[in-house]
Amino acid sequence: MLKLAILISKYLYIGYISLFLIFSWGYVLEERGLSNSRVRYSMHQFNLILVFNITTYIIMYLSGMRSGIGSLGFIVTLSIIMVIFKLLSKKIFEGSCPILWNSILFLINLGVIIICRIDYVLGLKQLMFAMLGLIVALMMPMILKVVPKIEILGLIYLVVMLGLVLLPFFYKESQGGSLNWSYITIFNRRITFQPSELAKIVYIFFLSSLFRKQNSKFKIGLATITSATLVIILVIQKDLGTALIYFMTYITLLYVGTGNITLSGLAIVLASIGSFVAYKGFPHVAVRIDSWKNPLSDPFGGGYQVLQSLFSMGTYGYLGSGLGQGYPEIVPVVESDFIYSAIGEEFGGIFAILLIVIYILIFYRIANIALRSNKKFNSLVVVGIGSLLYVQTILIIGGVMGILPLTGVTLPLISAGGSSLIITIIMISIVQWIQRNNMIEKKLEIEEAKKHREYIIEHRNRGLFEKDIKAYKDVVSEESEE
Amino acid sequence: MEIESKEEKMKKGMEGKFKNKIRFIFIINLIFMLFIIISIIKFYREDSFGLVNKTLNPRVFIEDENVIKGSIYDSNGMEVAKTVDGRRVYKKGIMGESFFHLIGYVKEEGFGLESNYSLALQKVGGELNQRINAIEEKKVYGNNLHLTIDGNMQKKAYEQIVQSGKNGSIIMLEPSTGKVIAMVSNPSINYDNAKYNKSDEKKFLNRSTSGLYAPGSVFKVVSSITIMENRKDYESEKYECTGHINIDGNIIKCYNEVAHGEITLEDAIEQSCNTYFAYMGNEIGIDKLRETAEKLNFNGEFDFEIEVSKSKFTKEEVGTSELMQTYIGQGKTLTTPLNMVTILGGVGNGGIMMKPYVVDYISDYRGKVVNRTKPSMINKNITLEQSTKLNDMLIKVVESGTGKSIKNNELKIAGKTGSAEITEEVTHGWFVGYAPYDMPKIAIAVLLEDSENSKATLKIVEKLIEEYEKL
Repeated sequence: MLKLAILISKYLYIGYISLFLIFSWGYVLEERGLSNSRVRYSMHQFNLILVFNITTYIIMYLSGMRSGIGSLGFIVTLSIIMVIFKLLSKKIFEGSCPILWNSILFLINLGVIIICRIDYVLGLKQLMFAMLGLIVALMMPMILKVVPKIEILGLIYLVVMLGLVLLPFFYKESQGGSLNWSYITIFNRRITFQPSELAKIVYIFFLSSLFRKQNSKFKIGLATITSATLVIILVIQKDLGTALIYFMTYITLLYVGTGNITLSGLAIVLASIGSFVAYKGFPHVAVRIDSWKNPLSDPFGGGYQVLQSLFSMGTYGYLGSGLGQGYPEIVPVVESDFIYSAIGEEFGGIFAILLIVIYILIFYRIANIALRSNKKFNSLVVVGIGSLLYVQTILIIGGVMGILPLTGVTLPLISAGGSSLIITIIMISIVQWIQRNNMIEKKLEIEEAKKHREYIIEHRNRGLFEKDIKAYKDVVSEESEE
Repeated sequence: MEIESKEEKMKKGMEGKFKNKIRFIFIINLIFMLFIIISIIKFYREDSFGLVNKTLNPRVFIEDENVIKGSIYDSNGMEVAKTVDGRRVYKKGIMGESFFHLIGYVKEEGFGLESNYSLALQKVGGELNQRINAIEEKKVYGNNLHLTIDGNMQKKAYEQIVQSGKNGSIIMLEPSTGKVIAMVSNPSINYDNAKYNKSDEKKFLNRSTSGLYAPGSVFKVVSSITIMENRKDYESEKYECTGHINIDGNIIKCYNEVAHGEITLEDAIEQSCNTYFAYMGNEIGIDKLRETAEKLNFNGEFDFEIEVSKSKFTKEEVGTSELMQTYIGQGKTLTTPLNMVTILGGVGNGGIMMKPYVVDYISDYRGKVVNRTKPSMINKNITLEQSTKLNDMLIKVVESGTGKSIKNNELKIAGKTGSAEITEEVTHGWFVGYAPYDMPKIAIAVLLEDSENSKATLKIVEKLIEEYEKL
């Protein structure tokens, strides 16, 4: 009976994620005026998250995992957090993109569930981090309002950023072989975090601030030198994945901000040479590259992680083992770096592939917001955030699937880990805040135009000057052109 | 007014360019993501099956109590392994022994099909139907394996090798498809006596796939290909064999120091002349031979359903003595009978080496075919011309050369004998070949350890090919 329920649940989960994507499709069509079905897609889409949770609860209850993820309290708390955030975000971020909110909530929700299924305590922690991140996200508009002129603070960003990435050298906290962890002590409790995560936002602001106006050689040079310094510091800290993410963000913003293709190309060539040198020079880089080329060549050494990840993804095929029925805990660091394999194992290959489509959807919405922004600075920030998350996703999914060399970065919004989760949520909320500002500006424009027209109409009714008639005609012709 | 509009136009143009750059970035990233998706689909479609069944995957040993593992059948539908009351039951007696290495068992140190197909045997086909039925019956059935192995041939091959009293291996396969018809290794174990641990290493070794042997003169087939590629006039090029050759003080002798006189490559293969190959090896060098060997699965992974050892060819520079030794199949070269029969099968098949396989298809509990193995090519690194020439030479080996004791106008066997000196006292006997030579239906490799020469192997070859013809 349990097995039958699990079998059905496998199809249900694939159904949910498919519907989720179909609703997004519907929403986009509606938004572009290509369809007029008046279905409230965004609401249905959000409801899918709740249905997802109910299904999960039933499966877990039947499997007998009643203390952890199968407890009613847990799933209800998770769902309530989602609902409250959804309602508040609608109020606070008026005009923001609901599809983007739904997508990140879906991923956060999925992450908490799968982590909880692997390790209950970690799952609870993740839930707490998610809550914290979402609260900060709701406060972002207020925080951003307080900071005066975020676009002109270039040098301040530079100082903060360098301070952050250098922090681990002074407050060391080594985890998983990387030296990029640091800690702060609050009320005698040591809180460890990854400063390089926080620095990501500052870095994007820094580059956007430099590239927002006409570009001088000085600015481009400053951006390049700073980026190179950052990347080198991160390589020294053995955080190759983050180094690569920073580098790709630099290339992207350099290209979009200055349009300098030669320089972007040159940077890529230099980086390739650099990575080759790293491959030859650093043994820990060489091990990763070699085990990527053929994980079977050293199944208990360098290739161990990727091989276990591939076993995890592959064993139960397209449909997966069903939630709670697989053995993802065999894979090392499955809760963070290899979370994607755990999802592939239990929810199946189709689900895992559709999950990538959700990421694509997120980046599509982010790109859309970047295109709508009037200010170049805002556009650059949004593009920076989007491509940073995109590169990170490609790196880690490609890594755990053995398509790219493995770089220990997190899967945005899903992997366990407070720093990464909270920062990613904040990034999305910055994007949404910019979208909200776009919508407010647009609204203001529309209102102004309306007022103007009303003014003219009023004058005409009173008996008009020739000048006014001309102005009126201009407005009308402008409108008809639109 | 006009100037303003121009400025505006410029601004709009700039904006358009800026927006196009954003679109460009999005599209580039999208392409990367699609590449990842395609790679994942490819992983599921092609790579995952061979990978996840490796015994390195801990999930292989996890057995689901609710699933009754499927059976393993031979090509005649005989049940070689089945589950009865939750326990695996295998064939008894000689039949069971002949299948032991191929079937293996599941355990941490397990091997064979039972281990490598443990997941497949537990996979529930037609799951929804079965699960609904299981509410009453509480049982679901895993999928079944259907082998290409012919149980009768398998048993006969095993009987032959037991009769010879030597340790060794016999493999028979269809060169045109790669279907393995028989694959046995001696000594074997009776399942009843198998204590399922590897304390008695010698018996557990599957000599067909995991036994690494010096190929001896059989390797001259590989050397010949190298000679054909590097000596354009090899057909007319003559060498005077005096029974031994001395280069810089390194001496290589022919078998019993028989002088073969003035010979070409064709005669050298026919008579298995060591000095000819030693001489040629000295002329051509090791690198060219390594190139050929690596094209023929040496130093590379051999893809097969159960564990296969890598055939090894020296990767280092060698001295004159080892160079000459290597050309006649001694030296540090090591190979498996499976690899040799694949190469010779390729020669018989016009140069196209087919990937050997033992699992014909997998069926679900209703007998519906779930997954059928399609014959696939490993490579065609032997050219058609080379294979034709080699075919003529290998025919002569049996017609008038070292294998003439099995000359038979009906069976039409072609192949190469070999006797690999391991120590002064121990010599392994080989025969690898195929029949009938004009249209090969079966390729065969027989290896007998410590059998002095290849006489005993030839007898077995004749017997088994005769039996195969009767089928």
